[in-house]
Amino acid sequence: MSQNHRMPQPAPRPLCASFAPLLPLLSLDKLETDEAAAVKQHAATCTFCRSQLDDFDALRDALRTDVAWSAEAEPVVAEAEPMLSLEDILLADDEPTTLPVNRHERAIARSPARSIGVMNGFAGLAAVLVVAMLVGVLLRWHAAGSGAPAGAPTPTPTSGPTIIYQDPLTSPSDLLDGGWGDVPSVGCFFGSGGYHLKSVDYCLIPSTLFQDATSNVQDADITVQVKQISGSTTQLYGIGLGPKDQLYRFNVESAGKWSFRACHGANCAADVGLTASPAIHAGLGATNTLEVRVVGFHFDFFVNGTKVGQADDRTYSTAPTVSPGQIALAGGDGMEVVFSNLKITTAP
Amino acid sequence: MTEPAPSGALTTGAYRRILDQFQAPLYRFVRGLVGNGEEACDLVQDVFVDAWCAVKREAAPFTTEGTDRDIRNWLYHAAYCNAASVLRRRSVIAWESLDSFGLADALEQRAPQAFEDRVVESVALQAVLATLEPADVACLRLGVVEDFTSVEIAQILGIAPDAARKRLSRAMHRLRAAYYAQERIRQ
Repeated sequence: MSQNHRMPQPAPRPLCASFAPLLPLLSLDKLETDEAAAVKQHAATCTFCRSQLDDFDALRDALRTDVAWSAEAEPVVAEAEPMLSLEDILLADDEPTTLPVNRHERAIARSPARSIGVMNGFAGLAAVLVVAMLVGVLLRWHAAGSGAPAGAPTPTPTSGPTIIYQDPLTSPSDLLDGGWGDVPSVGCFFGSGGYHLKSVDYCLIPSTLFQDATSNVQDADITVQVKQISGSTTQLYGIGLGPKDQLYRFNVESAGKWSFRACHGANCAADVGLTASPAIHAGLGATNTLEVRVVGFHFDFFVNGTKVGQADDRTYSTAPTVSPGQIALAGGDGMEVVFSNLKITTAP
Repeated sequence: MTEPAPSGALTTGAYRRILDQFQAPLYRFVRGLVGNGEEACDLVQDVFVDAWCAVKREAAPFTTEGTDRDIRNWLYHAAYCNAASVLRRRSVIAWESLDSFGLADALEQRAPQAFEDRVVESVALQAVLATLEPADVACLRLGVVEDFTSVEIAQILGIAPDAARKRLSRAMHRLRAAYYAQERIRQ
């Protein structure tokens, strides 16, 4: 793998910069046919890119070989590989019904021999707080799920909404780059006043930020502030939620109207068409607080604290859920909107 | 609006097949992210418990209509989220451990004893991987080792497909730069 780098590196040419991001993708066979053809054509006449491509091919092979080889060569790894049986899962699934706690804590309780290592006092306090926050969510989730085991304890009603996620949207809050997409070239980025969507249809709220990243929450409430700073005032922007085959969008436009759209697969219908409301602060630069409340199959829509409308969707037998990775801030082509103060809670 | 086609719940046997088929690769993926075998075991178990709950709820993709690919993407997405959560918590709770992410320390900890060049190269590769951001490592493992498509990587990481391609490209460039920088030091 090292032969190339014992040789002097050839100098890049003016076009190389535009092909550089595509070279590793060509090596990994992740380009479309036309893109791949263009890169190959350039590399055929460019020593610099050819050299880089060779490096990426070598790294790709090394990574693949290393993974396969490590599994054989390291007995510790082989021994540590889990051999979970169905019985293990069924047993583990029974345990949390009377102890609805954070999944990671549950894992610890399940297998005391496995500890996460460093858990100081602060960690314990944080775990207790997380557990307290999730109790309400999990109890509601267990109650709503059709697959709740027979004889499961009846959840105790919670005293108020539980915060699932809250963010002022002033900076990327996640340690991992897999958090908020701060990518100006895509049109989703942090800027003045909050999270900007510029000429982009939507930016997903990253699932990694949720406390319980694989649970769907029924009966939830999403609130966010938004203002349009450029583009036509008759363009729609707002909140989207749901998987791609069951998508809902609550939108407003800066001309003072709102709408709700439900999509089932490729079929989208404006269940509530454009409706004017005095609750909406009209005009570019005006800030509005949008709120969607989903309870069962019923949606309520609020703007600046005033209920502007409602809708029901019983197309599917299961009620819509607020799911990590399936909530989006929505914008549109040729416009820029700024979102701030996002809050997702269980429905009050 | 169209009515969805009726779908059925997975049988216990089908779930057992999923468990047998995916647990080993999923474990290797998670272990590569969190760097700890026991922790990876716990996380993988959590993923399959969540999957079992989804089977009982007849939630997609755990129905008779869900394809193996859909199920695989779901499992990897859940596993990535779990691993990311652990890494995030680790950064808050045990942030002193970030100090050990230095390349020199990583090499020292993983220094080969009497192995041959292959071992040296493997250790160097692991050490370089340890210097990358976890999201980059996840992207590399998904894109290079597991051979997921850009769209699938995007689904698993919860980002846009274009962003997944950019991240994969960037991660490969970083890996190349770090690897050859380290190689120059070794030489």
